[in-house]
Amino acid sequence: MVCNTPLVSDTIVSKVFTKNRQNSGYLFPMIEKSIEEANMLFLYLNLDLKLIMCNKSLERITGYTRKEIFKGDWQKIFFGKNHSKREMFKAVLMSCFANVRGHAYEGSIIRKDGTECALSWSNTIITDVSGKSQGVFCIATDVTEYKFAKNDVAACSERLKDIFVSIKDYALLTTNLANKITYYGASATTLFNWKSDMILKDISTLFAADEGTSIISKIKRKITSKGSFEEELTLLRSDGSVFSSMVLVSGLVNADNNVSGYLYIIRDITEQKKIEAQMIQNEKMAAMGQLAAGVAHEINNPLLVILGRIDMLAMDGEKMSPGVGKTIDIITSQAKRMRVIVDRLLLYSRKKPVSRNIVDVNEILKTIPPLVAYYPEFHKIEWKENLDKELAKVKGDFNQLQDVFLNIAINACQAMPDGGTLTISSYMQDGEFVNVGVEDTGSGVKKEDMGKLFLPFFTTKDTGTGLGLPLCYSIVESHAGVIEVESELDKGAIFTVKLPAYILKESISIKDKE
Amino acid sequence: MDGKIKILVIDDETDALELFRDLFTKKGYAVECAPGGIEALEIIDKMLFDAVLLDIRMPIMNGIEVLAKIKQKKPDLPVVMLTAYGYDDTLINKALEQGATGYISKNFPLAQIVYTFQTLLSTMPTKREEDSPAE
Repeated sequence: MVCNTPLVSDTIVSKVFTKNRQNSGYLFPMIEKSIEEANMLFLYLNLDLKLIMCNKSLERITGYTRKEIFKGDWQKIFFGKNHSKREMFKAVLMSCFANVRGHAYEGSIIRKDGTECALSWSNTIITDVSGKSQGVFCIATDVTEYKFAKNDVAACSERLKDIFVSIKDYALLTTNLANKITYYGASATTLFNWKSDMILKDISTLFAADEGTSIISKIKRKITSKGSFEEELTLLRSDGSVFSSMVLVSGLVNADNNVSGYLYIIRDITEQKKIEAQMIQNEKMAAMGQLAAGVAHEINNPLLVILGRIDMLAMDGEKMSPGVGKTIDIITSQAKRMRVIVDRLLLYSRKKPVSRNIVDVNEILKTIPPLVAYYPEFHKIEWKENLDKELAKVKGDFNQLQDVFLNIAINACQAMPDGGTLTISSYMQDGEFVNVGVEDTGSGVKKEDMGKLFLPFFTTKDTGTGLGLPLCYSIVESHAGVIEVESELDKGAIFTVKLPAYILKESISIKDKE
Repeated sequence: MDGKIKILVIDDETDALELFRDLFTKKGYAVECAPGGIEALEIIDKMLFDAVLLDIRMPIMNGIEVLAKIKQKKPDLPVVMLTAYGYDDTLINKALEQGATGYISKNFPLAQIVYTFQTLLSTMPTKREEDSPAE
C-alpha cells in the first residue's frame, strides 16, 4: 500500500503512513510535499466515507478551509441540498468498495460561494495485505471551464445541426482541403438524388462533365482573393441528369484562423431559369410581333398597289403580247406569295384567338395524322399515339390549335428525311395543364439554335419561311400556354405544348391572360 | 347631281389612293381623294358625300381621329375603314365603337374590296340630299 497524507486524521492510516515514511527514507517527504502542493485535489476516505485526509487544492477549489471541512459533514458541504448528486457519489464509492476496483467518475460539487465546480474523479481502492478494502483514494481535477466550454460546443453543435436540417431549399455540404465531402444535409440528398453515402467522394464529381477540376480551382482562387465564390453552375444528379444551380462557397475557418475546408451552399434554380427564359422569350416575341405588324403594314400597301394594278389591267381587258402576259403572271404569282407571308406575319403578330370554345385536345390530335399523310415524303415515318383518355378540355380555338399541332408535327417529320418515329402524346400535368408532346427521332436542334426557334424568319430549312413556329408560339401564348423544347443533336426533339386545363384553372389562366 | 354615288377616299399612300380612285371610278362611283385627315375634313366641309373610305393608319392624324371628326360633322355619313393590318382587332374595334360602318382589308383582291364596300353601303341609308354642304 503506497499512500501518503499531508493532513491526516485517521490513526490506522496514520500508522501505515508512518511505517512507509520510515521505509522510504528521503523519498516519502518529497511525495508528501508534492501531493500537498499538487494542482489536483487529493482525498482519502475510509470505508465509512469519513474524510481522512485532503491536500491544499481542496481549499483552492472549494473555497472552504480544511478545518471547516474536517469539522463539518464533507458530503453536506460538497453537495449541499442536491441529494441525487450526493447519493450518486456515494453509490460510486460503494461500488468501488464492493468490487475492490477503482473508478473514474465525473461529478460536480458546490463551492463555498454557491457556484458549481465540475470535477473529474479518479478513485483508487486502498487495500490491506489480505486484499481487503480499507478506504478510497480520490484524485480530482477541476474541469469546470472545460465542461462549460464542452457544453457550449455541444449546444452550438446542436444549433448548427438544427440549422442544417431546417434548411430545405439549399443543399449544404462541407469539404476538406482535399475536396472530399465531409458533411452534407438531408436537402443535398434530395437535390442530388443520392442513394448511397457520399461522404469522402470528391466534390468535383458533382459538376457537369469536364468542368469539375477547373471549377474547383476557380472556386479556390476566388475564395483566396475575394473571400467567397458565387456563380451559376450546372451540376449533376446521381442519375446523370443535370440542373442549373446557384453555388455559393466560402472557406471553413478553424480556431487558428486557417481555412480547414469549404462550405458549399447550393440552390436549384432550374425553375427560376425556366421562368426567366420564358420572360425573355415573351419580351422578344412581343417586340418581334410589333416589328412583324409594322413590316406587314409597310409591305401590304405596295402589294395592294401591285396586285390592284394587275387586277385593273384584267378589268380593262387590255390585250397583251404573250411575253408581257407571262411576265405579268410571274409578277402576280410572286406578289401573291408575298401576300401569304404577310398574312402569316399578321397572324403571328395578332394576340387574340378567334374563338374561345371548350375544346377536346385529343380530338384535335386525332386529325393530325391524316393531314400529314397528304405529304408523300413523310410516308416512311412511323406514327405512335399515346393519348390520355382522362385528359381535361381546354378553352380555345380548335382551328388555331390544330394549326399549332400540325405545324409542329410537320416540322418533326421534316427533321426525319430518312424516316423515323413520331410520337404524339397527351397527358395532364399537376391537374392544371393539358400537355401535348410531339417527339421525333430526327436530327435534333443545335444548342445555339434553341433560343431562335420561335423568332420570325429563323429557319434551318431551304424552303422554310421561318414563320411556322413563331405563329405556333403566338397562338399558344394567346391561349395562355407555353411551348417548351428539349432536344439532343442527332437523337431528336420533343416539343411540348402546355395549355391551361379548363376544369380547374380556366378562370385564372385564360381570363388573366386577357 | 349626276346620280352617281359620291365617295371620298382618304389614304396617305398616293399610289393606293390613285388605285382606289381608278377602281371606284371604273365601277361607276364619283370619287374624290384626300391624302390625309386635314385635307379630308376641308373637303367634307365643302362637298356632300354618300360614303367615305378611310385608311386606319396615317401619319399626323390617324384614321380613328379623322373618323371622330367626320362623325362630329356628319354623324350619318357612312365611313368604311381600310386596313393594311388585316387583323388589327384593337384599332378595328375602336373604329367600330366610334361609328364606322365596317372595315375592308387591303389584303383582299380588288373585286372583293368593291363587293365588301357595296355590301356595307347597302345596309346604310343614303342621306346625301338631306345634308347641308357646310355646317
